[in-house]
Amino acid sequence: MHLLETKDLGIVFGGLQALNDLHLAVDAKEIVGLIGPNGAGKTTVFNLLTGVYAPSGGAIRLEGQSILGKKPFQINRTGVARTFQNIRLFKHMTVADNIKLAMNQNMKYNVVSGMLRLPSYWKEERAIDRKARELLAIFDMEDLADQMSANLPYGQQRKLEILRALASKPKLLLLDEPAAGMNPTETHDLMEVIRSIRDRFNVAILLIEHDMSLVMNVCERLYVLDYGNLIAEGTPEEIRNNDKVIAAYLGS
Amino acid sequence: MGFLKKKTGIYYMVNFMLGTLLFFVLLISINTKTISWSDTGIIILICINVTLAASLNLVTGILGQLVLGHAGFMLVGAYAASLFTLHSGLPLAIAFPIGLLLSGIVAAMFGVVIGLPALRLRGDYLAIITLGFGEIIRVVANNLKITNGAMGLSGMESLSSRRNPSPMFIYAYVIAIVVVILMFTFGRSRHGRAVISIREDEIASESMGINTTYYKLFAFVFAAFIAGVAGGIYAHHYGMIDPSKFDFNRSVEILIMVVLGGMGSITGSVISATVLTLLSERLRDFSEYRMILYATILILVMLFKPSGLLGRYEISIPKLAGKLYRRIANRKPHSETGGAE
Repeated sequence: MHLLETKDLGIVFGGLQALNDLHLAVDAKEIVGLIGPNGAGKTTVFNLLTGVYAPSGGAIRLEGQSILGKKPFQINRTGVARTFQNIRLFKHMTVADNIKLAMNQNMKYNVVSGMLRLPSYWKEERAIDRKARELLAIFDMEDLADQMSANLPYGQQRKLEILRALASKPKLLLLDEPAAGMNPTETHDLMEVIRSIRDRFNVAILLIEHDMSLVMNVCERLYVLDYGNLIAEGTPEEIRNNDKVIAAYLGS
Repeated sequence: MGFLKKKTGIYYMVNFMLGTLLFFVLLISINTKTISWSDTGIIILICINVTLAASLNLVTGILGQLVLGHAGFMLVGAYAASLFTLHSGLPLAIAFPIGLLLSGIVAAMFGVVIGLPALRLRGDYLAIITLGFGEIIRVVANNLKITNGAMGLSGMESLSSRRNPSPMFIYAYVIAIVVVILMFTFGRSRHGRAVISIREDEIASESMGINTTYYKLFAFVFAAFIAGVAGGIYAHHYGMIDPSKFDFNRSVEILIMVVLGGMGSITGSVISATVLTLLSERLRDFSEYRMILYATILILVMLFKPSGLLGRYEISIPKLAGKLYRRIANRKPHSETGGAE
């Protein structure tokens, strides 16, 4: 059984078939890339997988269970977390609070204990404060825990977004252009980070990326979309030499 | 600033003690008639407005949804409490607290009915629907028999009398301070974090496992509950209510307090509610110009400090004192080194 599996997944916006019959499978602890020219429908796939859009047809299964019709927050709780192409941090919350927010679903104290600061509040808040700082230490960002996240430099905002997604304990992590706006050195670091995240958190990663050096180096398998259609899938080596893919990117 | 530092705990304690101290100073002054009967009334009104502003700040500042009908919830609460105390036949000392609780519950029920359809959607639908609610509920109260139409209700007794002027003040003050504390602690709990994240980015919040509809509705209904309670106190403080007291202007007045103090800053709401209430009481003789003054102040604040006087910051007296002390303490050695250069 695959961790994530889609069958005949498609969506129509008005008269436009934005995505057509997508078959996609991701296994546990796999790093899979989703590539394609601009407007191919990559982010649409993410929005379908996380419940932001409702598909016009097809099926999405996570560990064999259908997640169709679930709301984004329910899908997140079943184990899919994502980052966004245009960073969506909670800007006027501290770095630590951004991460704690994602841990909310695993916290138990109720509204009354929160407002009256009963012992359960202190116990859990202390615990997640420690956990949030541990998580930040992965990217050497523990010193920034009490900063407003809006004040972080761009690269660290991207990293924080990844950490926030990890804090919700996903089985599948969706990264939407994690290297966007990064220079070659930062991108190189990011490759290491992506691999180490996979090993450390035992998550499968599905990523959208335009930076081919990153995609070819990190991903174990690739899916290529063009105009909403899956035109190729395979190992980076196979994709590199695929005529259809070359035609889609360069024009035939 | 770190979470759960020892210092923060001490700051909380000092702030709480200062609040208690102020309470007893006012209480003694009122009981010894150092503060006059009419000034006591103004203090109670300030407490009511602080309660209202703090509760509206939960929705408008912390949740980030505009509410244009807060006076509507106040109206519901005021009528619920008044009808209860007028018809229950219980002695006032018992009927009043029950009436207050009832006013909160009834207002909260209206909050659920109003909020559920509006808050399921993303975006600013709540502003429109609360605007409509505020007007509709006023018109309804104007035409129902049980609310006595445009004449309104009268004859609600205040717990206070000239001989014993303090009970109403105690109620108003304690409720105001409890509401302020609860708003503050709520904002720093996991639930408050969820509510703030919705203000910051609803899509991201939802994709991080936050049931946004639930938290939005909770914040809104909670605020409606408090507004209802404030309405209940208001009704018994004045002894008579009619629908025109809870019109759109009243809603805007509360909103101005929140915007002026800083959306998201509870202490900002406390300060601006206090100042604006005092101002409007002092300007009673020029009441027709009051709205002009309000508008002018609001325009000036929006021009020079769009986030409100305090923005999202909270004022803490001991923290302020600490800063001041450090500044004075640092000045000396600093000037000495300056001289050595």
